[in-house]
Amino acid sequence: MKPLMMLLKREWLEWQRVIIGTILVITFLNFLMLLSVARGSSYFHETLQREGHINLEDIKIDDENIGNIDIRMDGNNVEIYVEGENAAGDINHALEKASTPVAFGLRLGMQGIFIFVLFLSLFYFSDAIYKERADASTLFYRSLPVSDHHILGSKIAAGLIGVIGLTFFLSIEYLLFVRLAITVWGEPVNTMIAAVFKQISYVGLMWDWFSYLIYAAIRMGPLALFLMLVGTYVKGRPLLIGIGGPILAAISWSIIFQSAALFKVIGKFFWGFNLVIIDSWKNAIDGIGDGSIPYANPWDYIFNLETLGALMASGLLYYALWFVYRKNIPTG
Amino acid sequence: MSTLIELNNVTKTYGDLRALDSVSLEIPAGRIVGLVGPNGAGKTTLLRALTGELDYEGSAKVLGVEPREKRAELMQNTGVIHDIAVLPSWMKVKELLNFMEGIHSGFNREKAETFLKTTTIPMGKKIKTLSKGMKTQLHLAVTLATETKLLILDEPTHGLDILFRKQLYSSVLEDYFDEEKTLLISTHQIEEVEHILSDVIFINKGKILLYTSIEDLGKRYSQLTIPADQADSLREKLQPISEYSLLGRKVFLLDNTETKSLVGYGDVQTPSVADIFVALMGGQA
Repeated sequence: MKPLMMLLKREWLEWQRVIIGTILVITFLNFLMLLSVARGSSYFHETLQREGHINLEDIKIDDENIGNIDIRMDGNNVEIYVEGENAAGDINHALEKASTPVAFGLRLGMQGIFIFVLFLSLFYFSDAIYKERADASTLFYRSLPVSDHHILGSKIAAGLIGVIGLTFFLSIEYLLFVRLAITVWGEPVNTMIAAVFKQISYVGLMWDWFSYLIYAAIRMGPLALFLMLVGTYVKGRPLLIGIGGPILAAISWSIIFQSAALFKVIGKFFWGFNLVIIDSWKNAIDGIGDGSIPYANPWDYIFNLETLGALMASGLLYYALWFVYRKNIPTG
Repeated sequence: MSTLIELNNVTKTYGDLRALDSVSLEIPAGRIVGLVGPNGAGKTTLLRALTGELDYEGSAKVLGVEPREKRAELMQNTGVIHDIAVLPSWMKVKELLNFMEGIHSGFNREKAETFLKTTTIPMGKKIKTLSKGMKTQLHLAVTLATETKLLILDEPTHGLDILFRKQLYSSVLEDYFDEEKTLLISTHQIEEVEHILSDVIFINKGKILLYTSIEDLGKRYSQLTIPADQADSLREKLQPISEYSLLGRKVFLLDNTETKSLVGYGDVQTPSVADIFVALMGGQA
């Protein structure tokens, strides 16, 4: 176990600058969001001071009723009036309904982070073996009392843990920044949105998100292993060959055989982790207003035949990876 | 004396090329063995087969284990230094020591640090910023500071200056070698190591041409220096395996010839390993 932990630590040492750099970039973007909110807040409060009130008209507050929300300044106090037939009585229902698109928004923001991390992970997986072949350090690692399975396992585990861990960490940071942005906006938005946010279960949101990331890690296994396999063999540009090769093959296949079969296979086994993103997006577009939940049950994704297929494909690709890695093919 | 390395008909092919051709040998513990051959002779292939880095036909046991199947176990007691810089270039020197400490139970950090203090290698620098000599020194430091029974050096002085070459071998002898350990040194610069070897293996075109102790080598081969005008008559009589001219005289290298029987013909000397190597390779390299 200790060699595996040391090899994982080695991966951290090698990639820590990329990870810290990613955190800094996302944090910078969050700060930009905060700055935009602060400017929007200033404009909002200037308008409120000048006009005395801001009237948001024709807000749909439940399925039947259309109402107006009037925000007024009374001295330093801010008062919110909801106008419309039965509107006051339906206010809780309205808040509950409003929480759905907000939760969708939060979820989509986290998915954006995931896509960003995923993009970086492609570089990691394609370089994982290639780099040690390129600088000949593969010979050094083979002179240590660790097996090929230890070396390969540490790289796969580090990559998948890295994708899940980094996305999860950045998601929490993103939620904290969103909450901070609401506070920066000030009253009455703070009170209004806080009332909406109270309807959202953060624990549920994060637990579902974490489960989804586990699912994504399983489903991205074939892609990760395929890129590592390419990096074990090619003499240069492993990412370009790893991504471009299958796409070129699929295009050629579709032209020669007039069939998109290869595209479908590639889509199924190499891009399956996108399924939840696509489904969530569809939910976001279609689902608001008809009571659908922003996060579908991730366990349904994990326990199904396609996920089992992805696991089997990962097993086969791992065997191929190990077989080629053993042959110790240098880049030069 | 226990056998450390045992090979039986080990063969490695790359397409039509037989990089190793039915190699069989036994190396006991406590020896310093030179593996000598020209470029492309199969030295590195043999060493990589011994360290479990290559598939091969035949059977091999190194330190009691089959290297290909149990490489991790083998490497617990084997150190390797390659002919090229193989340390991870992105690591800092200090990180490398931390890594070795965590991954190899036989690594003695204090010993490595003591060795490094005798060099100009800075602990906080990345390995990629070090010179080639420094990289070899660093690799030597971590390898010699690791408790092993077998040390394999594959052309360790390749590309290094003469001062560092001398230092490398004296470090290996002083800090590593004792009668329980075995050193296997691959080189094509035989004159560099012949004074420290106990045994020598000549390899060419994947075949072992000669495997003998330095002592037996001295008994078997002799060198006779004679006036050039006697060369023709003695050549037929003594059947030298090679000859060359030196300052107007002829030098014969003789195999299995009684030294006593040569007295009177000229100056009789024990040939250097390099001379024997050149003689044996003469028609085959």
